[in-house]
Amino acid sequence: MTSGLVVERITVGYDAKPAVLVDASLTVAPGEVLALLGPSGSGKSTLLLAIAGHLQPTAGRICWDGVDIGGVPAHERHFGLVLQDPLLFPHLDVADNVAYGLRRQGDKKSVARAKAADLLAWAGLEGLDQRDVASLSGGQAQRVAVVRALAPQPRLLLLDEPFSALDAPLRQRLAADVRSQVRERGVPTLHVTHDEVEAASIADRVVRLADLAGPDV
Amino acid sequence: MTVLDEPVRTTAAPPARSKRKVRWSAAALLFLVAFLLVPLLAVVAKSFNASSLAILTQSATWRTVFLAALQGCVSTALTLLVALPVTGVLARFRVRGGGVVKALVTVPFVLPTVVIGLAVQQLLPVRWNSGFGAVVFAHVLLNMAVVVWLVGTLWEQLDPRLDMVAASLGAGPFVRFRTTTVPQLRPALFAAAALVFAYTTTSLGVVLVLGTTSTPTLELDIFRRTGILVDLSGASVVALLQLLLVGTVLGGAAYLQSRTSQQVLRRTAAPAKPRPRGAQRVGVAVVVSVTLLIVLAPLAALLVRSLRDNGSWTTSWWSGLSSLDRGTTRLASPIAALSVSARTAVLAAVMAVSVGATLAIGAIRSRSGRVIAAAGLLPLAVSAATLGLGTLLVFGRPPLDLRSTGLLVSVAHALVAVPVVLGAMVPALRSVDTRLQRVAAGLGARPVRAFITAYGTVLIRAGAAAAALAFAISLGEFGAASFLGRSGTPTLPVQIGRLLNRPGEASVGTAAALAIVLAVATAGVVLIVEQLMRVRRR
Amino acid sequence: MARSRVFAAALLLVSAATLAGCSSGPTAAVSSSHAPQTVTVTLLTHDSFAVDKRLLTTFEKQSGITVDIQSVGDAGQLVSSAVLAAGAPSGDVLFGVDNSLAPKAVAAQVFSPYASPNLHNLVAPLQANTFGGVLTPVDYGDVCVVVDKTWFAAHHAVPPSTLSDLTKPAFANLLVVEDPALSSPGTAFLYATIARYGSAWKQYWTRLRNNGVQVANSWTQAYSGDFTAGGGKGSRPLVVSYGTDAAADIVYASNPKPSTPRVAVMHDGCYRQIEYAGVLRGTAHPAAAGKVVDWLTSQSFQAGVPMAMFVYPARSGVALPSVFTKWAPQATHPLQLPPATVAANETSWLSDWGSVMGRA
Repeated sequence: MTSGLVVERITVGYDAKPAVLVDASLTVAPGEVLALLGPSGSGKSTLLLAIAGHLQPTAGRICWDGVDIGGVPAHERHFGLVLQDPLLFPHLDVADNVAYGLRRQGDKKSVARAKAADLLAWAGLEGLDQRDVASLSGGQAQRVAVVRALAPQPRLLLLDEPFSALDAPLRQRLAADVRSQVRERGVPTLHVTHDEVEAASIADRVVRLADLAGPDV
Repeated sequence: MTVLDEPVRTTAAPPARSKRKVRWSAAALLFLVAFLLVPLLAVVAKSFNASSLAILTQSATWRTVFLAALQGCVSTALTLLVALPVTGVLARFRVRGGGVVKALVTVPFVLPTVVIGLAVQQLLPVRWNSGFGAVVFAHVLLNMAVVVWLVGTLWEQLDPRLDMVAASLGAGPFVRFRTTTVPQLRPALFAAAALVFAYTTTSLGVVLVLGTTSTPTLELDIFRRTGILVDLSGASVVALLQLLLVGTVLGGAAYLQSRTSQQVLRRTAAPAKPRPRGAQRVGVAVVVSVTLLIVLAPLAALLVRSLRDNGSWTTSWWSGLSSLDRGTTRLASPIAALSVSARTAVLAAVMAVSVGATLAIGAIRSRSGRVIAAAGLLPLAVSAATLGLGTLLVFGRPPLDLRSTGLLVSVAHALVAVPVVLGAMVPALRSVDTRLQRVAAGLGARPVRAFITAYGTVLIRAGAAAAALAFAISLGEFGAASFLGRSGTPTLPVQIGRLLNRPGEASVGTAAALAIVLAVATAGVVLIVEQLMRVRRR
Repeated sequence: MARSRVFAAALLLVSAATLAGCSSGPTAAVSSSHAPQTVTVTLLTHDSFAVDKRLLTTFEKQSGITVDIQSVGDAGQLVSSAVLAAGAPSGDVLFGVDNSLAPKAVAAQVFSPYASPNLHNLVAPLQANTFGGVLTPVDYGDVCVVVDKTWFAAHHAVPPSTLSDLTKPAFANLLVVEDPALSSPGTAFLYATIARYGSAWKQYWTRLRNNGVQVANSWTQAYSGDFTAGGGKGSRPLVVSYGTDAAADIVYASNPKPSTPRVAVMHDGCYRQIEYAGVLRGTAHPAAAGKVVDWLTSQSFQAGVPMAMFVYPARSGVALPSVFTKWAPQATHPLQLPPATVAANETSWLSDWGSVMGRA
């Protein structure tokens, strides 16, 4: 049994258009941070969304700890997701955003908020608990988004170009922060990016999308 | 969306800009006051007699208020329940024939209420075709469109990626709906609920055809007093009571709405809506078929009625349509009636969207926004029967004789449509990230340009939806048109009303046929607007 | 394009249209080229008014008067509107006030006196019926209980023939009436029972109620919904409606027209309704308005009244169409209440009715 994430030769197409991703395979070992490089539009996000459970592959399979999770709906896969935009829930404050995943796991509101406060402090974001998410700067919001994704202790963290909307110095700082955070919690991470430097700085291993996929990509 | 990296204020636009919007809003408000409050007050002034205040102490009055409010609550809750599934499906997925479904849902909203009452009466089994249940059923049918348009417009603009993130945090479909979608939809839900509640508690046509003692409304009481009794003083008192009560409810709803609404995560590049996949397809199919069943059944009943004559099938009512202009002054050919209706509707839509959009922009941008939003809902609280009388009194005779211009009906229709226009535009406008405007300004755009950059797409989409609805409302409006119309060709709804007042198979059969014509015309208009909106999206 | 500019343009457009409309008001209308002057008379009436367009054009040509017909909802709303505007009316002539509504309108001084030369051409009993010289009778009709003959035949039952029959167990749960506070035929039927039973009318209605009478909110609900012969799913073969319904049943049937109607009219208990026209007080064209009243009572107009509005012409000697003579004979002894009595007691009668029927 191979532990961790194993993606075997999946093909994903959108609504009768030609498949964006053909015959791709990759693995993420427990505790590993893997960076996936490729230019924009090459199908990296597609691969990520397929792993997350939001897109169904038309061929191949996705396994976690040796078990095929193809039939498992997205909300049961326990994979954290951080996208390009922070996508914080606008009707909740920062702490409630972070607490969202914990509440889904059964924590009462006060318990979840307390845990969220701790996590925010741990991430260097203390004092932001009751802030309105619209009042956060871009960097702060994305940081909160990462903490939110890590709060329910996901089995795998999926990052889809999380820093590309930020400017360079901020990007580096955040990348370093996230790296130390996932290391500390031992969460295997798949980090999709088009930035080579960022890929090299954040990951244990870097792969290129072109190397993963079959002949058509 | 470019994400700036410095702290950004949460407050709304700076005061300097808001002053200009208030001036335009003032003009729009003046329009409302002139055509709403002045006529009402004129009737009160002319007829008020202190002895009528005794009505306020009668238990019958408060029994009516209670029953009307109860019926309104039940109707509103049920309407939301029935309409939300199809609203969500149309907002989130690209459904084959989705435009047709939306158009069909809008048809009952547009048809004259008496016609819907008749259709429901034909449809329901004998025991059930009058009373509380029948009235509520008719109300749900009538008002589904309000939810589909008002909530749907905002729902379409929600960023679907938020759903993905929520799923990754362990939220299943219903939990996601409850914890992320509904809170974002709240402003539109409030607006729709307020509108439906106001419509159903002041319902007249439906109650006249389907009602019993358990379904009174204050509007019915006013109708009684201005009709048989010619008790104008009493009617004024009840009209003022209705204004107070409904106005308070609407004001409360507007207040709550402005308190809870926040920026919504709008999707940016508007990618095409996905087609439903796998299990979703089953769900979508179920929702669409059930909704169509609810909407089409009464229309089918009308169609059947238009083909029946005393137990046998006939096409005489349809073939007789072309000769409907029998040479008398009461009826006219359907084409002529439809063109009069159409002309009136275009004018009404222009006025309604001008006034409504101005108020909507004022509502979100100025400090007295809440007052403006509430004021825009005023037409819902003013008794239609009293308004008709008052409008004739003030604007139907010299020196202010607007009736001869033929504009009075369009004005009345515009007034009726303004709350719907507001309801379609305010939640969508409120959802816009004010930072966008600041970004544009920061990049050197002048205030108006910045405003357009930020609000432009939303204004166009919501504005188009509002215009379609306003046009449809005008097309099917009966009361004001029968009261304030110029002589000559009556509008189609007025024709239908006149036919329904006459005994004989031909009368009801022809009325039903004309109602189908009106339904098809409405569906057509809505479909066209939907198509135009879709083209814009690409 | 700036939103504000679009809005300003729209405002300008509407204002221009309004102003343009105002300036080209009815007085500027030119229709007849034969008459030396053209006066426009506005005739305010209700939704059920109808006249053959050719009759209208002929009158306009002959008199030089353009008649602008404006309908103002139903009769009650028409009168309410006139009462509010008394003295400064929005029209010149009003047609459509009936004997129940007339007292209120007259008391509010809506009309100015006018004695039409056609008064002495009217049916004898109507000639004095002018409410002090301000109103001119134009037509009349009866509100009666209408019977579905086919239903009774199918059930091998004999239809009721008198008001008191309606309270008999044999006719239990067969009658639908309209709420007298909401519908004019309903009011008429109530007055019929008051005219018949006097102060015992409440007991009569209690007996009706115990006999399962159904009350509808409107004529449409009663006729199209509850009446068995109205095309709906109704279960009631007796409905309060108009005395000319049998004739209407034939006229408004599909081709080929049936030779006999499906409905019949119960001749006992009919209430007589008379419709009047009057010159509005404060009109700018009293003489022309009077001419229009004359036209409404003229031979040509009156001859068309039966088929246009399904009521009887007030003018004597007007030939009725055959469908009327066969199927819509007038009630020989219709019930009537003096208008003054109605005016004085209407409110209390209606509220008492509500209490008796449990609809208060």
